[in-house]
Amino acid sequence: MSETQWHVPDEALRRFVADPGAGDGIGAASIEAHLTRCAACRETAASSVDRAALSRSWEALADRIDRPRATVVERLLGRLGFGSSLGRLIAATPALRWAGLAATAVVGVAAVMLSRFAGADGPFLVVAPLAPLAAIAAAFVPTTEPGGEASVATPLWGAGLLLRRALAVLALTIGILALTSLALPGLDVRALGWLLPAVALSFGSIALGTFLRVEIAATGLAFAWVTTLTVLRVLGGAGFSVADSALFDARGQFVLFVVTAVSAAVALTRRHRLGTLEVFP
Amino acid sequence: MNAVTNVTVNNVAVKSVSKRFGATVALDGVDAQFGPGVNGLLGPNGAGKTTLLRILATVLAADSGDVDAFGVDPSTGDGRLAVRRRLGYLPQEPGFHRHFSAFDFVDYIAILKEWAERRTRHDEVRRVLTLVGLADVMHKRISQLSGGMRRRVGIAQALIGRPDLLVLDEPTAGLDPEQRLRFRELLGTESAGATVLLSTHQTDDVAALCQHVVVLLAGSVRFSGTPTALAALADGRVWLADERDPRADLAWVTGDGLVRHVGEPPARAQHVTPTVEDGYLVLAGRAGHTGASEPDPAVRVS
Repeated sequence: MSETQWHVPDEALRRFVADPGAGDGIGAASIEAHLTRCAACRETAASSVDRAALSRSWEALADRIDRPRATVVERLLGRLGFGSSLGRLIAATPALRWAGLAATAVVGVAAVMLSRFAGADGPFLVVAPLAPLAAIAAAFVPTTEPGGEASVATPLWGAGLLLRRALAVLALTIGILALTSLALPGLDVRALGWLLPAVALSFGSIALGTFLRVEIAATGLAFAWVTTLTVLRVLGGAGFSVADSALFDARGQFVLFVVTAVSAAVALTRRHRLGTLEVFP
Repeated sequence: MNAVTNVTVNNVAVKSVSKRFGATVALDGVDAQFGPGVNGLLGPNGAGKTTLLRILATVLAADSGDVDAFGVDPSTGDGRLAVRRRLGYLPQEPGFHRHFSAFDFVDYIAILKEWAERRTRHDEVRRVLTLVGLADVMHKRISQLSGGMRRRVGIAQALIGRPDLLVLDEPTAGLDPEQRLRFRELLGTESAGATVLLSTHQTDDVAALCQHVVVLLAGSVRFSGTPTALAALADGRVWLADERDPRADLAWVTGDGLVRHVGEPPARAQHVTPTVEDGYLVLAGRAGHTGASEPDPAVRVS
């Protein structure tokens, strides 16, 4: 880069350094262009810079550059009043990332299409409760924890964080499934019958997850759910309808509510088991 | 579980700690004390080093026995929280999320360590990543970093907030010689006044870094003392010869063509000054050769 013989007058340079945007734009642009070619003027400019202000400016710039980009879920949690740090910890769970949410949507859409093909709510009522269960299991399995084992040895790790994540997962997966259920054939109130089974299975997996590995608990509950419906199907004979079966009438829903309440109580009572890797070493 | 009593000089102590995974006994009544400075854990694979470190890092709970860290019992909820607030932990396998950059990962752990204020936290994240020499690649995805760089990312997150207790499981695994030297220098400056527990297979790391070393064999403590004392276990049992002596426990050809032997020396053997590695080999060899159900009593040298 060639040096020039002309130099910016000291006063003009001082004003430029103090506030580059204060003068006329053309003059500032000229000085800026000159500084890129003139080492002497750069040195003079550097000597009159407010070091503290420059340091603050750099720190703000670095902070802006380094700030991790917030995900959609993080922004959503922020609007719901969660602090940015807590929002980040909750949103980091794989079930709340795009892939996890997309998987829930795909399951929901597939179940709706099966129901439309069958001309009844049955397939959706069977499949929909399994999606939140899978998402909860994925949120609790330590191998999916974004920080790995290092996370477990930190003060914020434990039941508080995991249960908040579970609630966020449950709320979002249920929301997505509720949206897809709007496309069910002959939509009526019975189509909401999957909600309590979804919550009961999810809470049940968390409660059982304080005794054994959560993925084993979730797999066992999914198997129990499908087995129960198969038995009801066999007992129901030719005219069997999932929506009219014992699981989805008032008594069945009450039983599922009780299962949810008991599971929540067990999970809270045994929450200390979630503070280490004891149940999933 | 009761806290170990009378812990004054030692910041961390375990007493009669046992841990079992199914039929496998990982730790069998381990007693050990760790004071300020760098404490090394030596032992072969499967000796129980990682299990002991995981218990001290509050990641696992002991089946029985007492654990004390800074006068606190980490088996209780409050005790665990108190220990975690003073802890930096590098697991053997950190398990990074593939979407994270080095900065994202360390920032995420910093949030979990209660660094809620973003600007301060980011300053600390930049500081620890710079300390381990990753300032230039901090925004690269971890999946694009080399094995040694990933190890340094793990070390960086353990250093957040200059913890009083640093638990490092094989921190130098995967580091090249220069990085290992830099790690030693870093540990010297960053852990001043802290209690550091590190497991390693590198006996020269122990000799260079540790004020105290514990040797674990088959879930039991077999030695506790200084590296010099560990090396002294091989006094009179290490010699050089032109030919391999079949009666030696171990023998290998050195760079200058002589054969270095460890074991019972023959008469008029050319003895050499033993190293920490020799002492460890004598200890491990003695245990291996007894092969009996009754282990040798632990050697304790202060």
